[in-house]
Amino acid sequence: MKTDEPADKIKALTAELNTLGMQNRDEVEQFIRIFKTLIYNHKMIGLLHDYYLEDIRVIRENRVALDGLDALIRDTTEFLAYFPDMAVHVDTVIVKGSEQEGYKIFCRARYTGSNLGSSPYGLPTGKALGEGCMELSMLSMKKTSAGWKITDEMVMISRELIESTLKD
Amino acid sequence: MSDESIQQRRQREQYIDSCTLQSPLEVARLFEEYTKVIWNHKMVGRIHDFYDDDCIIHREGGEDVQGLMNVFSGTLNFMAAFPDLKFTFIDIFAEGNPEEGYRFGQALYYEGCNTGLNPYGAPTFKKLTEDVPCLALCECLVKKVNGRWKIVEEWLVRSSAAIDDTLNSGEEYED
Repeated sequence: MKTDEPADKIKALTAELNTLGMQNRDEVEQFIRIFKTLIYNHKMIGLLHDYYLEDIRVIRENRVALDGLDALIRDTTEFLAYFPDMAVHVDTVIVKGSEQEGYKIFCRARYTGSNLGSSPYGLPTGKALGEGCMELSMLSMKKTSAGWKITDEMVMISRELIESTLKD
Repeated sequence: MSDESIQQRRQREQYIDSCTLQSPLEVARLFEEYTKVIWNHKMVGRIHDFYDDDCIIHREGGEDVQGLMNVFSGTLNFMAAFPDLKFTFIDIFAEGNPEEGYRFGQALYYEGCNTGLNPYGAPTFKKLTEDVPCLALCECLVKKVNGRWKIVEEWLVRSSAAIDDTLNSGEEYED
């Protein structure tokens, strides 16, 4: 059955995510790759609850800040709604820190997909993002009483490219 | 320029000139000092120190900047628009080694006021950072080229729309 393959993939990735103890930089890199893949390729948006602090502040490009987990979830959901066939490609992960002190992570990724959903600019355009939709991010992760959490984040994406894809 | 500022610049330049890039920690400090020497102290010619002739800078719009002249042009235009431009680092860190080279990621924000050159017309006197920082994130790949450490590739996302908004007062320019 067609849906079996992605269903099994999600299960396998989630199982792998749950085994990661963040004990070294390779596990941290693996976490980032799997986490982003589950959210963007497999639309597992609810996982944001598992790994972000409730009162997270995500600083975005162009002097925009997302205050609180709800704002982040809304923003992510909208992005996926505009490009429901979205895939993330993680190109680079740079890690500093340790299990004891926590980690600082820098990530470069690309997003591919086509505007197949409505957006604030109107009906779907069908235009593709191409290969140039770049995202750079820097985040901190710390071990809390509720497990490993992302405690702060700065994310910048090719905003103008995205907007041009959403406009006819 | 105050003596203190000149002294600070000289200390930064001393570190840059003596650094041998033996560890990720050194690399992170080097490129923070280097960025500040170019941008905050306006020693633009030092672009030559670490940018490879054929360096490619991948930008957020998908348009790549290639060649040193374009790097110089972009730097000078930004500086001319914001004569008091200051880069404030949030963080920078690196991975790698002296044999294979390094990758570093940095986050910083811009402070400055448009009192200078403006492609839209008269200066707006608007500020780049008010409540939320005018952020820029960047990744660089540093490798040895002909025995010298060089940035061979860069990925840069700036808050381009916010910078544009700071330059655009919305008023028509009268000659």
